Amino acid sequence: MIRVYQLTKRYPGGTVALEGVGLEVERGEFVFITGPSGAGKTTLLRILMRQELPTSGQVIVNGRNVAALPPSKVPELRRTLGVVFQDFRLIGRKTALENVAYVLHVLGLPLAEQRRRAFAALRRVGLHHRMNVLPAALSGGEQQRVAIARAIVHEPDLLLADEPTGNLDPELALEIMRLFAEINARGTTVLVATHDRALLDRMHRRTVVLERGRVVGERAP
Amino acid sequence: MSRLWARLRYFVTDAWDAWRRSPGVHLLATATLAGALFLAALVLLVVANLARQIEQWRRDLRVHVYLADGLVEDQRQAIAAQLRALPGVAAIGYVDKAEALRRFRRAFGDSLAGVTEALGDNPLPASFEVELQAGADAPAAIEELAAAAGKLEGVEEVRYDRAWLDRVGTLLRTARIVGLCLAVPVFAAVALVMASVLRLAVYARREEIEIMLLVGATPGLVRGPFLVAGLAQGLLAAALALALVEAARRALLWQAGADPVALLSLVLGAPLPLRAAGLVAATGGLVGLLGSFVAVRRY
Repeated sequence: MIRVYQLTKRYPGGTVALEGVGLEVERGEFVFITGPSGAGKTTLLRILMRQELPTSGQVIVNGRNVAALPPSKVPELRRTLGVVFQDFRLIGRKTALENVAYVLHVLGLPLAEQRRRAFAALRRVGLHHRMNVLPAALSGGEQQRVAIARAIVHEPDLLLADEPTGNLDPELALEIMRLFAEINARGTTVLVATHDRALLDRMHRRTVVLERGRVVGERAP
Repeated sequence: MSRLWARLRYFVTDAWDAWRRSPGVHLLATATLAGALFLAALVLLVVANLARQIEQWRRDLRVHVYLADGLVEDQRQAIAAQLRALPGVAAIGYVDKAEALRRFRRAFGDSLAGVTEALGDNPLPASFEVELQAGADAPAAIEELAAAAGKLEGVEEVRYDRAWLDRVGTLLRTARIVGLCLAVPVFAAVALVMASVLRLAVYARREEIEIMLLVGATPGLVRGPFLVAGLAQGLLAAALALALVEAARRALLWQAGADPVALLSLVLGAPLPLRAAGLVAATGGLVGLLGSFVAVRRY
């Protein structure tokens, strides 16, 4: 599902975010990327979804060479992904339900189907009772769960999650991880960036360790 | 088809939602365009009225064949028969001296009544009014007819007002062309001003746009609501401008009272023709669409 070869990302000014990173994730795998803040986890995810371009190296996602993808093909790539952003990235003027349904709208599903599936996704994260609330009126944890519901509502090929449990209490964090595991069991490849050690210890999944932009270790499940 | 319909419906509801949430910037854009369209519609109204009036005058155009005094009935009949036989003549009417005087008095009222009385005998000549066939009002044809009528025995003078009508017509055509040449850059400038205002709306929603693109929306899907909003604003601005022009026209005529000043009734007598109103609406829609496109094209 993911093939990364000699990936380097340097920002103008010389800051190196990733240096010679190599990573392979098979279809159907559940992998954690961990490391301290500034290790390059977020940059890696941003490159995987073509939010940024690599400086050098090759990145293949779901058979697509991400760096060489023409702009017109980028939406196609992103529709096969589910992404949980660190800062949630919810549309402020849309309700929780509308935020989740928007992904299905992008896919061209009928309105009734959008609403039905969005509601089901919100129920899976325990937020269906808040479906008509705008993001500004939701707590940080609730916003995060809406973002998770949006990422899973279309059962993507690949789920990318950047610190998806950062704002959740340990119990809810574990609940969300179980939800990810369930989605993974249905065939979705899951890649989660987190520095939550407790979570890693409880989940027993393959874990890739990044430090200062380099892969410095890996733990098997 | 249903997918296309659903998408269009989404564009409309999303555009309305965005308008509802930040009405200020959208109203500013609409008002800017409405102002420009109001001026354009006003010019069109005046031009359309002038054109209509000139056309009316053209239709009413008569060639006046003035007769010499002292003609007997037979001579008059002979002239009438010869006039009828001329090419391009539809009908002729006889205006005797008494009728000519009545018309003079009707036209000038009391102000010049003393003049005719002072002269004693009725000084106005009898005449034939020659009505032209449709299509026979080309300058050359009228000139030919006037020359032929002028040669008839017993005819003193031939007059027609065609020349100045043609000059006004030419002036109007020139004004239309100049107006059109000016309208293109003016509306391009208005579209750019509108784009700048709409860019504020786009800027306020830049984060939302970025999110939409990140979850796989195509640029077309992101731009759609903005384009629909631009089109709607353009049409709304046009409707406002047309309503204002009509209101202003009625108010001015109403203020002029039952006997409006001749010039006012000449340039504002009739409402803007449907075709011109359609042109204003189409321009509004196009400029709104163009302004939105410029504002949102980088996404």
